[in-house]
Amino acid sequence: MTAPVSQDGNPRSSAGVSNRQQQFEALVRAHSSELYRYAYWLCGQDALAQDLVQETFLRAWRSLDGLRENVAAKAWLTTILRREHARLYERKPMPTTDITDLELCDTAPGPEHLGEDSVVRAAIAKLEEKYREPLVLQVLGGFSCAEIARQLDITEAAVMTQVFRARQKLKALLEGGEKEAVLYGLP
Amino acid sequence: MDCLEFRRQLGTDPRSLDRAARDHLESCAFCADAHGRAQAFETRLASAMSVAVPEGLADRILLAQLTGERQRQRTGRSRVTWIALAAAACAVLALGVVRYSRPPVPGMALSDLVAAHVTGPEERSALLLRDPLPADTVRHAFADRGVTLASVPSNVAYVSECGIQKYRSVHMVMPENGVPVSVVYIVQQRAKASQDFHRNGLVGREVPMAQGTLVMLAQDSGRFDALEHTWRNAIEGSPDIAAGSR
Repeated sequence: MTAPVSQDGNPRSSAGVSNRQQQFEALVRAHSSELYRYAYWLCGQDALAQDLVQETFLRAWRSLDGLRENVAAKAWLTTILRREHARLYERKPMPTTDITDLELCDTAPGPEHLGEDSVVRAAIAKLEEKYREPLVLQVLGGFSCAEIARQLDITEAAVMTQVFRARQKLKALLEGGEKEAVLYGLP
Repeated sequence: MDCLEFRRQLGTDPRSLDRAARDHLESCAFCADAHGRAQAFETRLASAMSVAVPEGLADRILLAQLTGERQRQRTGRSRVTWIALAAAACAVLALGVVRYSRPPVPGMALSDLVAAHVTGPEERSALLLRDPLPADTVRHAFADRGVTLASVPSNVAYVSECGIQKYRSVHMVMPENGVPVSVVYIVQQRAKASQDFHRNGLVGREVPMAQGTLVMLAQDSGRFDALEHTWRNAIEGSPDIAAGSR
């Protein structure tokens, strides 16, 4: 007989309940939304983003013992997702449709595509991937430039340049002109 | 820090300015304006990037992991060596001889086995699932067990064809208002009579139904009557022909 377990899913005692399973559930609950959004901005497709997140967590489950500290979980999961995304393209060359031609231009947009957000989303989608990805990691993931540099395997200075340029390009798309970059003589 | 350096830092990471930048911010009204604009822009960006997350995503991931883990364990079991298989076969034969030569072990009633199964570590995650499955998924699970459902009750968030020791079952979780009820239909094993019971801190009810037994477990028995009625209609087709009613 196993230990008592509450029907709300919470263990009444830790005995008999897999700590590993509990840790995994906590990871999924805590990070699946954020990872989905990151995946969405990587691939631009809802279904593919969901597949990527699911595959990421299944891989994470298989190597969960390698996760020493929960505080590092987000970066660890993000790395797995990036690799899974790259692997997906290695396995099966995807059609090279531009992200702007995909769901962002849906003729029947949902509420999330309407208004101010849709304008900004269209502008983000127009960014080159090398600008968009570090920006998404910084704004959505809350990663520092140093952390992003480790994720993307580039220098911290390169990340700083890319996120700076990404913002300038977005402002140019949304407001017109690249005023500040020109004004301050930045790359 | 001068204005140029501040603007570079502001454009690079507006949400984490260092001490020097914060000092500059307090002393330069021009840069303070720029900082305000940058923060507003960051808010716009964060809002736009926060696309809607599909409902039930986490539950689907957990279900996929749970299903995969169960398959892996089954596969793992099938990879034992021939020697181990032979030893196991001998053990099974020996146990079989002993088992069928005397009555079932006292204390291991159907209710005990089902309670242990639904609260076990392999099945625990199923209690977290909330999104209803398609009716066909439930129907197919019963069909695989040789039971044709007359109707499919709604709000089944989890279904699995589980073996509970020697019994073949369809194990389901039916949440309502976030509170799950575990529902297990044991095929080809009909209880003699309905009975309520307490196991593992849960309340339960087992009900003879068609050729099998429906077992329900939850924190309280508030939904048992309604679920029993619903499942009797689904399994037996009509309350008029219900056999073994309470």
